[in-house]
Amino acid sequence: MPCNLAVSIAKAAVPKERLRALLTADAIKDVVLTYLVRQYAALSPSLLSAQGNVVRYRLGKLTLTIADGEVSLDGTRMKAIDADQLATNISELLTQLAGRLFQKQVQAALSGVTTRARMAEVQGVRQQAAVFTINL
Amino acid sequence: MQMRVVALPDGTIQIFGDEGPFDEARQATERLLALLAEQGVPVELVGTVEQHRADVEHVHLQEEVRRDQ
Repeated sequence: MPCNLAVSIAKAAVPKERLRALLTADAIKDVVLTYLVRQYAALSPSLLSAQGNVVRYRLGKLTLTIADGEVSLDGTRMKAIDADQLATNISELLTQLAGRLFQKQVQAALSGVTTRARMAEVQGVRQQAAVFTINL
Repeated sequence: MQMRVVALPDGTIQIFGDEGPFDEARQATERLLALLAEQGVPVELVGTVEQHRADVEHVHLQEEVRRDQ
């Protein structure tokens, strides 16, 4: 429905810390491991531990830690990978994952009143929007 | 009242009241925010509920890319 038929518009947001709180160990451990295995297979990535909001992985001689959505790397730096780039890539992956989890959370919260749900792209910006039509 | 909620991956939502008088759309928006909070999604209104005008900045959606239901 084009927006020129809308009668009201409101904007709302969840605090950033609430977004980060969605990145629990259970939510991220498999997603990040799948990414690491695909992108850094030569380093034989493996999951070391996952508890609360802290997940640790081993990649070669590096230990990758994600704690409350923050990424850190310890261990011997290797020529084979750019550790800073790796940390940046994982941070971006977590940002995308938090966004998807947020959209799922909204979907679940509105499930009782939603008459239609779909995904759309926001014009001019490469991001996907979850769109819910509801009756109140 | 029919409303649309657009949830963006940056943790923001935009709520459109699609029909009826503005006052009713505003009240429905407030009910919707209360419903989200009850369900554990504590979104906070940014600014106020605005009456739609051409100069009110908001998202525009393009082609549908995936239908969930």
